[in-house]
Amino acid sequence: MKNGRRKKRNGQGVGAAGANPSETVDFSENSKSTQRKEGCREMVELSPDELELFVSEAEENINGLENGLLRLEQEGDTSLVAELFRHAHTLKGSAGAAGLTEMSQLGHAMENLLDQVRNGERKVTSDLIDTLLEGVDMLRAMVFSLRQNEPLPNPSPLINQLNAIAERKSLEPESKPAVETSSPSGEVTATLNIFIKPECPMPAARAFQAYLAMSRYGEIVSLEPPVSEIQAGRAKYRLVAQLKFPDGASLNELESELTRFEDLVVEVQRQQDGRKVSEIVTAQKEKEVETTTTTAAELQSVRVSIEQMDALLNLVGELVIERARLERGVRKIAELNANGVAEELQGVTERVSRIVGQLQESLTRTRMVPLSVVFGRFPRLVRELARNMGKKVQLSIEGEDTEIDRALVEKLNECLVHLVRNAIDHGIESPEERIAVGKPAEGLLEISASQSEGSVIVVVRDDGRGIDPNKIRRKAIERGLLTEEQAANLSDDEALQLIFRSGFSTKEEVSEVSGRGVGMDAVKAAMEQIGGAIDFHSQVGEGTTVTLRLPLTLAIIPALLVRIGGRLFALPMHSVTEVLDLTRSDIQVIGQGEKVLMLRGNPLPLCSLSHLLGVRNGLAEKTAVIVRQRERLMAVSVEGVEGKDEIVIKPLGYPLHNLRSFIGATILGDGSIALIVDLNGLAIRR
Amino acid sequence: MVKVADEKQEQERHIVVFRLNGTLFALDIQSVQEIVKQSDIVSVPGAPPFILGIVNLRGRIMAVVDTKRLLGIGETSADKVLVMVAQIGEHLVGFTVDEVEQVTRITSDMVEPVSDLVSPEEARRLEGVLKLDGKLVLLLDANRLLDEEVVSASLAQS
Repeated sequence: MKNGRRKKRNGQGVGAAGANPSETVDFSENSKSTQRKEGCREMVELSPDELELFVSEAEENINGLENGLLRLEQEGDTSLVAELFRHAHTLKGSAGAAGLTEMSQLGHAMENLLDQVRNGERKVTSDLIDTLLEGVDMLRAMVFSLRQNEPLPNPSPLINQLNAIAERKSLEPESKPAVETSSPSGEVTATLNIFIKPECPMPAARAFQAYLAMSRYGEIVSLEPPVSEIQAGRAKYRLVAQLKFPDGASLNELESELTRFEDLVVEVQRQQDGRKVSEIVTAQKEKEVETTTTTAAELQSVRVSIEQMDALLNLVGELVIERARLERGVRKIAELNANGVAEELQGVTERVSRIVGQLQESLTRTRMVPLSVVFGRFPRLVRELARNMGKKVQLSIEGEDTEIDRALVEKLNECLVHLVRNAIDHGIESPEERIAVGKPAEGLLEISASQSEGSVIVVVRDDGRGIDPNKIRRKAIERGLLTEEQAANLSDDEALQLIFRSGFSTKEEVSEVSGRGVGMDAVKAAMEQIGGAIDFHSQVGEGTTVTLRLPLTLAIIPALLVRIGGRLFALPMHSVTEVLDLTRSDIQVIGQGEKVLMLRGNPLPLCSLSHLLGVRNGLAEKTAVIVRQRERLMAVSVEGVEGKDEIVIKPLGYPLHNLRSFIGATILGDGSIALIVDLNGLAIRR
Repeated sequence: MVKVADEKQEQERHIVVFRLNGTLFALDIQSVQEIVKQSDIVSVPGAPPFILGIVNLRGRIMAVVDTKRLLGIGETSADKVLVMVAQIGEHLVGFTVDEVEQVTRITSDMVEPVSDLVSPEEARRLEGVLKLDGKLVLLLDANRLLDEEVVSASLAQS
């Protein structure tokens, strides 16, 4: 098949740029293509089918190479080399056939090195693996650009580097690759600020290209957003990178390569700061190891767009609804006649129900990712922040296996970065200060996750100086948020909650690290947006604990169906703690008609859900549902409870998408609609 | 549904003419997806007053606008209503109508600018006016019918 395709290519004469009908190409003669004018990287005209074929085959080989290289490094099993060689060889051949000369040359250069290993001329060192993995990354980037129908990145520097290594046939472990071995005095550090112009048609792909260009010319010390975000196509506006270059020329080359993209604006700030940077570089090394292992794990999976997943999940949602109808119908038939027909139908229904249930569960699970994808970034972040601020911090991470809906990852990460920055910047004291108050010099920062009652709980705890409620009171008065009297009347805990008020952070607090004017109010808003909640406790001198409560999944949730005003409403189960018979509960009236329900000695505010929602109530309210609203318990009265159900959350649609009282609506088994109440969004009214 | 059979004229367009409290209105057929009879409209507490409620449109939740309230010409009684499903930007939104009169072909030169007879507020939602069989038809601009300003102003009110 491969031959056939190649023939066709040549027959059409499209694969012009150095396509060679034979698989073993003498690339030394073809090297002129690498010297072609900058800015005209090869573009090939493959038909969509051919492109699809080529890309999928190339990806297979690239993945094979990557897997093999990682295993080779870990297991040192040289029999893997033959397989690696085969992957590189196939890739070289099919790229050449498709007219992708440069990709073919890269494959060839990698193949050469692997050949030396196979012949025992070269030892497997981690430097060698690193360099070959760079080749893998480049190949992948080229295939990516090809798929996006964009100019391919330039592999020439890497090809030269690989060839240079191949020429030095020493059995000694290779030192750093050629480009990076120049003397440390020539090293240049620079911060690159890359903006992607809004008119860029494919900003995410451009961001990825910029990242690749940077990693080719220099060593990336820090990168914002992180590589994983860029690879996931979520970096669309701006990249900020700190890079270390072997010499000034590399930086200049990179700059000129980046500025070739007309839709990028590049700002370069040069620094000369040897020591500090090299320290961070060590941290980077560790992180690289981490990323490569995750990439290896990712190879076992298929990429599916969230949109497609949502479409599938919606279909399953429909199925769930129809299942309920079917079950009810069959029950009716069974009531009508008790002969064999009904029984048989019942059997079928039960099986269908079970399968639908399993389908729903496993599909929901495919949206779940372990929290390690979020937590994995933090060791690096904490280390850097602590160093920048002269703090000593020990990070402890727990529960990273806890799974969470993929759609929540981004928001959670956003919140955690903020909380961790706060903890290190404001919470944990300097080593001297800690010793002076009798604490160990090293501060403790804990991030832990667990699952409970359909929620994921993430806790960020530090043993720093805590927050003084009196300071908060003073600040609130200064900012005009409260009068002195109001402030004095607040309990310490209530005073602490003031930090969630928008615009509470003050100028003094705005540091390089946690500044930018985003405060705890932003974290709270982000959590509420995803149906989560935040709770905050602090003890002066002992530390601060922030608890985030997130829904397990956004798509299908268990809910309690309650009746008010003669209609059904759904309450998400994760905010329901128990259901009580109101007629038998101890209810007391305090103050101006405010009702309190005594639950095992605890007074809980009691109010009517119909009143809270603004629904005209119908029948007498006989049932109380104890719910958690912003981490506090309260009782809401309803006319009755219809039962518990798995519901599919559907958006209310334009122009109701911003309504605060409802998360959305769901379609019940009989096709009717129930609104899903957002208890956190409800205004507290009595 | 009506097909555009005529290809020769780009000036020609089809409009759906409907009646609201005796007045004739029209929308370009490009914006109209279908017309459905709806009986189970679920009211949404806290929604802006011009929202009649939400409906289950083949498994999808769609908001239904009380067109009369939106245009300030009375209000729709809730029971069973005729809903014109319109594409507003990328959203599907239902609009109540009393009766659909006809789907007809017009040419652009039949549409005249809005006179001073209507308030500027109302004029913003109109693309123009035209005469059909001697009767005045107000041609609504689907894109401006629910524009952000209108919606946010109403949301702020409620």
